Amino acid sequence: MKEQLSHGVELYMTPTKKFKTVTLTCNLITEANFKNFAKRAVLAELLETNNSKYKTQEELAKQLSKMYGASFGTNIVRYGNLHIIKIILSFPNANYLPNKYDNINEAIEFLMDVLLRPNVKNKAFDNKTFTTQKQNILKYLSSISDDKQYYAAVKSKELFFNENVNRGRLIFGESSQYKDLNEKNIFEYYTNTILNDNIIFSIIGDFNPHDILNVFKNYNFDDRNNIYKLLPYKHALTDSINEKTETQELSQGKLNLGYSLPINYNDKNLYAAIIFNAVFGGTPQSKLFKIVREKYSLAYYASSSFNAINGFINVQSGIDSKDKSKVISLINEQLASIQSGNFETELINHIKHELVNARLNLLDSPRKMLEQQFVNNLLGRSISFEDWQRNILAVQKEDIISVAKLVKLQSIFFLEGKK
Amino acid sequence: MINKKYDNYNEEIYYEKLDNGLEIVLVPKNDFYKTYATFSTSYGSINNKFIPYGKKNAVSLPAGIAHFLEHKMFDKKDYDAFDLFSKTGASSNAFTSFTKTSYLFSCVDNLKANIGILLDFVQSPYFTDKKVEKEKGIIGQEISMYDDDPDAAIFFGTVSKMYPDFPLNVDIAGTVESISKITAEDLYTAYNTFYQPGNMQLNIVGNMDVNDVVKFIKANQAKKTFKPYQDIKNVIPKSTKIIKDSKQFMNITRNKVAVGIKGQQLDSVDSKYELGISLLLELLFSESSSNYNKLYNKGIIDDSFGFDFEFEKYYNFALIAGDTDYPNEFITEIKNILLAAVSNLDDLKENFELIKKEELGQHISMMNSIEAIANNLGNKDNNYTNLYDEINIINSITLEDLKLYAQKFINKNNIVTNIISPKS
Repeated sequence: MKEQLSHGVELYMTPTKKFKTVTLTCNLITEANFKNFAKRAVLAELLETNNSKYKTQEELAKQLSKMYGASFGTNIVRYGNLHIIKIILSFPNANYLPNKYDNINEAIEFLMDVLLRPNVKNKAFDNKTFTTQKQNILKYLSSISDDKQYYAAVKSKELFFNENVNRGRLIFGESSQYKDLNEKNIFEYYTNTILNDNIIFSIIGDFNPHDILNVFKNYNFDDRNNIYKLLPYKHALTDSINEKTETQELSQGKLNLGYSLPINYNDKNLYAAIIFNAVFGGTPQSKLFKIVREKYSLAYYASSSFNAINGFINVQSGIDSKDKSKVISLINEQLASIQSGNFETELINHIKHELVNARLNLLDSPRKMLEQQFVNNLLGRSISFEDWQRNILAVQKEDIISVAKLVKLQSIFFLEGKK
Repeated sequence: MINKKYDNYNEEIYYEKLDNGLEIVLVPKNDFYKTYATFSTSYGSINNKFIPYGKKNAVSLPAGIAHFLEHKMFDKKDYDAFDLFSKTGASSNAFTSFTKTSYLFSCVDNLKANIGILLDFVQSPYFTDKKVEKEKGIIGQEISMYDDDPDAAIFFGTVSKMYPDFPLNVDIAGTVESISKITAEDLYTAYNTFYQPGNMQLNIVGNMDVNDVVKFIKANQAKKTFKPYQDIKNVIPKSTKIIKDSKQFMNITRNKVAVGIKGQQLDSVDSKYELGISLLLELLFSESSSNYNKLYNKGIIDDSFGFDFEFEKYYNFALIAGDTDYPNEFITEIKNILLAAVSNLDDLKENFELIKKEELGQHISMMNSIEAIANNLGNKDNNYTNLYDEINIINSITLEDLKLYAQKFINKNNIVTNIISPKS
């Protein structure tokens, strides 16, 4: 159930007795703008570390322990053109605690302290906290290349979206952006965020919606000037493939292929595209798994993922560097074989069944449920499980073939391993 | 069938031991859509020397064989077990640890069909030398992947420094060299010994009709013939050595550092001790501790900092690890905290109560997850202590207990340190 707290500030409540926890999220939403990536990354860390009520990380951590090990964190995520600072708090339901310790009001207050009462003096964030958090992010940025698979995926995305930094670049921005940040301009940015970002609060668990709404109404949020909506990405196809190789001392090479698939979430072919991806590399039944891994023993992992907001398919595989061209041809052969209809209807039926089950599985996790609800809200749609299932089941073999024909290889990033 | 109720949490567990020795543990959660099952054998990477079923003398098999066997289990004469699960809409997987191999599936319908597939594929081995050879390429790439992963390197590297004379000194997957020696015959030798029903446990958690499921499993097992159960005779060495301080180099940008504490080698698992040491580490190093905050504010540790305690039948150790720019300071500070722990515990009375609250809450949160429940139902080594029992044990632990445990566990002669630094 949805309540409007002001223009651009909403509260979604999902009362259910199924879970033994209550989960609360707060999402701060704005247009993704590369120039602000560093600011938002630092801001998320500052909000997580301390605030004017819990002045040190230690005090804040103790409060969480006191709330029976409440799990709390902030992070930054991006859905297409939108950038989100997400605050999550979850804690055990009072029914299962000694003396039925009711912590729901305390938890909402905690969340609001994080959001509305930052550790600020004289219009500036606490200097020590700011410096430490900025340094930690810079250290993290410098170590991203230590996780080779992740690093290669980041580079692949940058290469594919080279025209669009807002969608393509790493969400932490780049280290040069941090030089100009200080505790004052971050506070200015915070003030701007609190006034202008759209805010979506969500709560799921065993509670009385009437009581919760009343608690939220104690806080005043001004109307927002802009309402941000998700916009699909139109990739400009190029005839040539954008290719880049980086060499490092590694035992395994990381191959990433970026494909354009111009079908987004409101396209009638969305469901065929989802199934196409599952046939291509999205499941252990897929062509990539069966051929690259099982038939030719060339890789431990070879998979694809489809992002319907950006019309982007990323294929990832860890291989012996000498096998690069062989693996690329095999991957492209698999795409061609789907385009020519070389797959069984029986396989499609299994994949449909698996996808429907996976969708139902989301409803067994409070966090996944909230996230699904949140994304649907950004997409401006509300789709029931039954409708989703009906759409998946309606997809025909021909639909998958026509979707497959739209898939175009646009970029290849290879992290070459040399001993 | 034994039924245990945990009324405080509206949970219950059913236990049934079949005539062939297979142990079944069931947790019905009928407001969930999903059902999750794990079929496990007490056979992991440390069990590579043993007396094979029906034989008199011990054999040593190549390192990585338990994991190799796990991979080959899916691949049958004319089908792949993955495909069977997929036909019913389920998803399946498997993993191998130091002490265990587990096969699993999760489904939202066709539960009995999936249980049947799980039992049947694990109970019908089919290995040929040709299939074994083909798998070496895939596992070779899996090993390469871990070779380049600094987190895996610091974990396995530090464990091997604590156990240089014990089979924990090799990664679970083995090495490209060791797996090259594996034959189909080796796989059968390991299979016939460790995959006896009497050495296995089937956990099922989620949406189910308990009686129906048990009836189905019994009928499935009754159709098969098994050789009589023979006790498993592992040859597990006594580990007496450690390698105190190590340093390696890798193609990375930041130092990875770990401090390991090797516990005394015991032959059984003591759940209270296990939870006690975990509480002790929380008390010393969690985000609500003054130690953590002191080191964090000095820039010696950051958000990558973490710690863990592993307690299994033949070994137990703690690891405290993180990324840092100051590896030597990291090691000195962590060691000082550990060695002063016993004398400082009295000052931490208030924090101890907070940490216990936190542990209670985290156990309750675990009950939301079908997978977390299935992975915390215990086994014969710990007398089937599950996550619900653990809550009572945690409540019973006192600060005095922690002092005794700390005295027993922390000993400066059993601490190793390990640094992996950037190459240039």
